[in-house]
Amino acid sequence: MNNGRLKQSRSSELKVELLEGNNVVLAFLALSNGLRIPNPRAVYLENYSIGLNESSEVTKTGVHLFHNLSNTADSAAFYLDFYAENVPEGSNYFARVIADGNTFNVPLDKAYKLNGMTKEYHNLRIQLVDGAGAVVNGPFNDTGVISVEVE
Amino acid sequence: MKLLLSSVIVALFLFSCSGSSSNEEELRVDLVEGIIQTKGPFQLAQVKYKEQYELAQLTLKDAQLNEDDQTLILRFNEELPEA
Repeated sequence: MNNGRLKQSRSSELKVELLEGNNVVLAFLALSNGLRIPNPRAVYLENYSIGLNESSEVTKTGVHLFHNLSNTADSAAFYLDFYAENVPEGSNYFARVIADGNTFNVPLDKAYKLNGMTKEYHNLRIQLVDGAGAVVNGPFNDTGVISVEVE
Repeated sequence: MKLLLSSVIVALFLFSCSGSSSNEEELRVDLVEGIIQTKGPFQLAQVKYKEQYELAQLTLKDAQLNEDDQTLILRFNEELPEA
């Protein structure tokens, strides 16, 4: 439930299974509630490739949006925050969060609590959007529809 | 040929997280009053952190990529609390 596979660890050493091609690994320090600690120095981002099928979309200079979605203790709500890489200074990029067709436009540099997640499947979609309302090109800037089950 | 691209998000807990800890969670963030959007059945509330975490950092000690079994081992310098 994320841009990719979410792994949580309480150890400073961890093993990650990779796939053929590009594997972008984002690691960050988190609070006990799952929210990312809002300090860019508490983030590690690197691309590891396996085999020869490297994607030209993954570049160190590209604009990339990652999101972090974690259950709250009562499961009826989720915490949500973002990590954006290489967003142009002074731009008015924002995140578009679509929950079951309901659209929220929110700043990237804040953290949120999404309430109202009843016990069923919900469709979420998160996009990085520029000031003109267009989704910013990039491999991680539109999650597509993510199906989230609340138990 | 379709190029393969995946991402792995790793959250490393800086604070211990044992069992259900709603009280502990609520201690770490506050809802920001007045900055709540309601759309349909959902409410999106902004939260603010109760601490600044200015000294928090995550630094890589070493990375061991094994292409044979397609695994990556990351080691960081920071000590993390046990659960």
